[in-house]
Amino acid sequence: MSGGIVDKGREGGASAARGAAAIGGATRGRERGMSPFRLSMRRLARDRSAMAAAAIITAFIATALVAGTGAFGIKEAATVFDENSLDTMRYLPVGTEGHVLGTDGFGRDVLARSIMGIRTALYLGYLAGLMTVPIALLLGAVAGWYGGLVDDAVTWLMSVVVAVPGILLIMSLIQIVGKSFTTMAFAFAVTGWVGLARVVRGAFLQARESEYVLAARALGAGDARIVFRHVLPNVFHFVTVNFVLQFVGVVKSEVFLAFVGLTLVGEATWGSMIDSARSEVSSGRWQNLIGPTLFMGIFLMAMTVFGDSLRDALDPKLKNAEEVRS
Amino acid sequence: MLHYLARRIVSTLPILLGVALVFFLVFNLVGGSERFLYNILPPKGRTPETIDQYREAYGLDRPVIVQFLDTVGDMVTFDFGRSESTRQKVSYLIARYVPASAALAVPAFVVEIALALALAMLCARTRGRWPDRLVGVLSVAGMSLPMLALVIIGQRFLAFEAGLFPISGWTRGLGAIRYLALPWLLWVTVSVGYDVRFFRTALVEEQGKEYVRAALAKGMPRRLAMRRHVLRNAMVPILTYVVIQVPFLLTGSMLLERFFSIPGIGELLVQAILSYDLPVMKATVTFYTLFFIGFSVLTDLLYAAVDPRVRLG
Repeated sequence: MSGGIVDKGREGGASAARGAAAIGGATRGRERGMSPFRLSMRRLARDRSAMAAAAIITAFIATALVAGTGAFGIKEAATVFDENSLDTMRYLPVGTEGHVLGTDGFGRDVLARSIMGIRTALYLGYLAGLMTVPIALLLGAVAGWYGGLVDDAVTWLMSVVVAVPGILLIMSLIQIVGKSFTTMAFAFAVTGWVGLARVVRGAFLQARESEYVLAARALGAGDARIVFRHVLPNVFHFVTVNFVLQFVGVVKSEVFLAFVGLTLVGEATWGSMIDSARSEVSSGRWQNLIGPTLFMGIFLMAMTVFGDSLRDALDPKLKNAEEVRS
Repeated sequence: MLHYLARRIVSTLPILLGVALVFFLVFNLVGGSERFLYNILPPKGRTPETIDQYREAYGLDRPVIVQFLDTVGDMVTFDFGRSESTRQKVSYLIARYVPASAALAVPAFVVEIALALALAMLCARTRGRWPDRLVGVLSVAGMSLPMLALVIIGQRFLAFEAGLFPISGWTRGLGAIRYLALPWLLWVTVSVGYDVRFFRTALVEEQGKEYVRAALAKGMPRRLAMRRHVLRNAMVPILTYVVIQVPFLLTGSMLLERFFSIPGIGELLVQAILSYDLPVMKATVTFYTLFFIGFSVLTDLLYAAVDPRVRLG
């Protein structure tokens, strides 16, 4: 059966099969019988920009993890400041020996703080994602699967959340509950689940009527088994892509929160660093701008590129539209 | 059509009710009202007695359900009272701050959309070659850099060192253009990347369809095919995408407004949140919500106007 699909692709027939053929170059015999997920991963591995982006992301994460253990004195250089040497250590310019990106007003190394900023970004982004995905999956799935009143209720909730300005909700929650990264992540999750939930709901609505669900039911599978074993894996690619996109959004929003004074003072976050650069550049001190902007720019660019490639690899139909040349 | 409109208008009521509920949950139950009382009193006046007095005066000691209905009542009748921090009427504040936001947002938005569309068409025409790649890379870079950093750099180099723009400030009337030029430029720079990417995808997808190939095969010039077929059909997703962004223009760019001291609604909202100014927040949220719902109805209508296959039912 699977051989038949590949053959059709060779003839330039069915669009679903063309994806596999067009993207992977010539279809090789080995690809027969591979699962769609493995095919996607192969596509991803062949995408050079995706691999470069993945390498950058990995390097960032590894650096953040190593720095967190206190190795190389990065953690110390980022947080501890020595009152005695404050006169000689503060505001060292970019390019000083031993402090490549200079030091800030407390004599803390800007490079070290930028590195510690990766940790904050990762924590915020991952936590927000981890909170968003269950909410979105649960509500989207329940609405799409059961329909009726449940669907009405969830759809109403989605319209309400979208109709409230998100940044207002985020700022208010942080303001009222208190400043902490966990609150921040929670606020991002509360405002950010709707997009994913909509897609999941749509997928479940479709799945409910599909043959493979009917087949599973005919074999005697219950609701839970069908939902978790058969339908949920089909929305997996939306989840991953959404995760990456949300990550980028969260990290960028943190800068805005810092700008309005709602980030954690004293913690090494890219936002608070850039925000303090606001008053420092007028006296020619650029280090707090250069460090985090560089780190954030490279990291988020890599994330965006990887997210794009991931979407293309996981969703051959989309990529297919791009591949067709007229 | 009329039937559809009527139904949509009726369906906004539960959404408004929901927004009121969210607002109420956040500010009265999670603890916003206590902070609010704390905040409106001067430090010396924060004794338990005065707090109780104020609680009574603002009706925060009444049963929760009554307070909620009160919030809904305010939102439905547009009666928001006075701002807690400036004592001015909220309706006056809104009327005063909206024009500045519009002056910042609307021209910047129009220019940005036009530029994005032009760039996207360039990308679609030169697919895979260097102009397309260059625009693609620049878009991703623009999306990845922190806006605040770009704003700082722009102000420092273009306004301070090159002296092309005033550093910040505001006047009423046409003189404001002087102060708006740099924020416009920054707005376009920051947001054009997202839109180019979206428009490009829409155009490229349409370009790849069979009917375009057929048009080209029968000898239609590429340019004409682009204009008459591809662009027109790609307009459906593009238009939706553009219209859905319009409500966000009302809140303006909070960052730009705050940074360049433009007295816009975004700045008003940020101020209100930071100082727990409940009446102002309630008002801005209500206006935003109504605007948002109004524009999503408009999007549906536009859909039907652009694409005859869409039927409103």
